[in-house]
Amino acid sequence: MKRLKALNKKAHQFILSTDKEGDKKEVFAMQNIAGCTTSTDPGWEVDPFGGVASLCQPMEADLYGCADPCWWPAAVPDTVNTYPNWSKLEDTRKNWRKLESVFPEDD
Amino acid sequence: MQIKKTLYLILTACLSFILFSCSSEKNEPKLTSNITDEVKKAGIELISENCSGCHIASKQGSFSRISAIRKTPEGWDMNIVRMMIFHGVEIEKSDRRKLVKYLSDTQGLAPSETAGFRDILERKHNVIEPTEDQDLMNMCARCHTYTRVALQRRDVNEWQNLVHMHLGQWASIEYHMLARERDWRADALGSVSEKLAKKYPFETEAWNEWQKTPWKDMSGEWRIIGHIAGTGDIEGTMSISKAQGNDQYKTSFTLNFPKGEKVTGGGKALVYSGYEWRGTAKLNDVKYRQIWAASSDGNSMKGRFFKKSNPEEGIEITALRKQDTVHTIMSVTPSSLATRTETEITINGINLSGDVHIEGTKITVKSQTPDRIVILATAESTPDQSSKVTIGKSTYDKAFPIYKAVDYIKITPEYGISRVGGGGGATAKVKAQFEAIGYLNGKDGVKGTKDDIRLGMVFVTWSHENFNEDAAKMQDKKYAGILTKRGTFIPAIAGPNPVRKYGTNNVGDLRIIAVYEKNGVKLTAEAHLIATVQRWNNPPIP
Repeated sequence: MKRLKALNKKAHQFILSTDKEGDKKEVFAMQNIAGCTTSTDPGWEVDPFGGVASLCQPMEADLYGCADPCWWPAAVPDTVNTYPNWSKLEDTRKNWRKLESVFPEDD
Repeated sequence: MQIKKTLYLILTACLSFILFSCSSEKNEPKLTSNITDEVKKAGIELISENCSGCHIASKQGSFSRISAIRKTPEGWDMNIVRMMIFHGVEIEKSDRRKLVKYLSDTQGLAPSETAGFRDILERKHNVIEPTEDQDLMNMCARCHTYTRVALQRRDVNEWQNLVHMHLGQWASIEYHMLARERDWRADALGSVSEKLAKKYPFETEAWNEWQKTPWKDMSGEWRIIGHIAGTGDIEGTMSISKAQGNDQYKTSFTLNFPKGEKVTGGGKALVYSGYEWRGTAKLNDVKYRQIWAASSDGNSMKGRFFKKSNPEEGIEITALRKQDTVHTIMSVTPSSLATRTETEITINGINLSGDVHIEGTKITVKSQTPDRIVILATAESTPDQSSKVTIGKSTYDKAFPIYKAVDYIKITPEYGISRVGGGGGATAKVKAQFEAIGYLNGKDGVKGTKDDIRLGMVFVTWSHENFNEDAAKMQDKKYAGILTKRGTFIPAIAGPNPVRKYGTNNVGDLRIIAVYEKNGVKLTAEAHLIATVQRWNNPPIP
């Protein structure tokens, strides 16, 4: 790790989370709040360090790029198999208000 | 003649007894004793009409896949929704409800099978699930709650079918962190499925026994006590009357919220699997939902009463049936007493009668009814820091600590979450509620040990700060939301914020601070809040 230099914040946090031997310490992810999709990298609502600094910012910027391949399958509709027509938007940053919540609750 | 008649009567009685015994044996509860043949027939027809296009029916009335799984009502509903979304099945709303009811009644979970996993079922917010098996957590709970898994019962081939479904449906499942480091497919189909089948098998003694337990009639008069985090205790009464059959009820509530707020209303409820009480009610024009579990004797219920629009805002309740033979103290508010101050204490229960006694205190009774006694209490000594509340022959089953000063405070939850919402988007804000709890160090005088004594909710001054340097640089405190005087964090609106760096959302990593000050004592506690993004998929078991 001595020869590596972190170029961004996430890489810096990754280096901080390793011990002297270079092994990655156990991530915080599984101690997070139930239901959070944490362990994909990045997580949806919590990053592997238990914060929000390493998430996609803003989430709308990269939403389809990550949701398409089912990156957060429980929290965000995947558009590969399950919700192929989920709010097809041209510019999610601009049109995020048109994104729909997908579970059809029984009133 | 008289002797003959007597003998005849004795003989008839004996024969009747024998015949009755035999018929009792014949009529001993079947596996679905609570389900009439008529209901069973209708249930099978319903599944046949809606599901048999794919699920193969057998002559015995079973259906492939469906008949090999047991779940909670919420689990079955999510299953049906999955069929609607994955396979385009069109199910009428009324059929969806009937299917959930029938499947939960005939292939549900026993009370003991849901007991350890009710928090998530009750839509409790900010729950950190116990990590009893890290392997299963890594496999399943990296995307959704472990509760979703633990509230299902399947044999090994059915657990394997579930793995196949995951693999087919979510293309990148093997490449996520905590999956790509292992032979995911082999593990999931092998050791993990086997482990799940052992832990959560389809056939259990608990469910077989529960099916033989007759469903109880829940109608009657009930007493309710509860707690609203950050606000205080509630109490009141609930009247339940039968609406239809042995599982549908009407309810009416008269509740007293903190600060003298009177709350009334009514609604309806449906009981699944003989004990899973699911209700809706309007209280002071606010829509609420109930997810409660009834005890096997049908005399008590426990669960959450929460706002339909904001499930994170709710009341944890205990309800007891009012019975002439029951004399019990259900709650004491406040739950502890400081010396030097005359304090008004409300004691709630059923059939409370007799003298009120709290060891070490001088008591004046202000008002007394069988449901509620209000007293003024002044502590004259601190007997062993824990005292007992007794009324006549009833003794409160919890300790009632008397203390000179709070030793330390803790914030619950220690790690919380809120979500942005509103702003014209499809999802509502999800707030985070914090509460400060006072403690005594206990006999050993050391904070954080087993003998510490919980005093209950204390009023504090709330504030929040950036959690770390990164948060400070991003000015998270400025943008993520506000913290009210009651410890409620109200997140900011959803959507990219053009004035923030990267145009990022109003998310933040925050430190929540509680300061308690009384009689010159100043105590602080901290918690961690992630004010984060919204979910776009909100099933009942997340």
